[in-house]
Amino acid sequence: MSAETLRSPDLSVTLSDGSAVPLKEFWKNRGLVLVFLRHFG
Amino acid sequence: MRRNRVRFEKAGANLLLVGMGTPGECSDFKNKFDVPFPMVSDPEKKLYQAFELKQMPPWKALSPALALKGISAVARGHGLGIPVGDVRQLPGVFVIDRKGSVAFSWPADDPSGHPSVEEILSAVDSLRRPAK
Repeated sequence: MSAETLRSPDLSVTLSDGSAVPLKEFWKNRGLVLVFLRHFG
Repeated sequence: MRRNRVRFEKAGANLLLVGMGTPGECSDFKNKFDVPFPMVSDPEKKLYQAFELKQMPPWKALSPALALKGISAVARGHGLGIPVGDVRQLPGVFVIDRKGSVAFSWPADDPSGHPSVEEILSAVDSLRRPAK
């Protein structure tokens, strides 16, 4: 996904505590830095 | 990122990690590395796919250069373990503004690269500037 005109997908995400939260809850008030990791372990 | 938590907080953006583990595996990761940010569990890679992040070609996963980077990581104390997630999945960083638009996009082409903290903070700063 490139910047400029594209929008964040309207998805619900599952957090590490098992709760489901709409992704927009993280950007709607403050903006969001979303960091995708590689594999870990 | 963890070391720069205060700078991100001052810049005024939330920070969210996304990993390919189950909720339990992501929780263990957060505890192990004392990660102060929320973390998304995405074992099916739905969010990775929604942001169009690429997979590393198989020939690159077997390259000597990548093997050397792995050895270097072990030498720095990262240890060896069973990988959690798709080892070919490439990472990425995105900054999303308060309207849901992608203001900064950095999909990795290489597993070892990453944008600098300064680049990301500059993108976060731009969210606070009035629209032209």
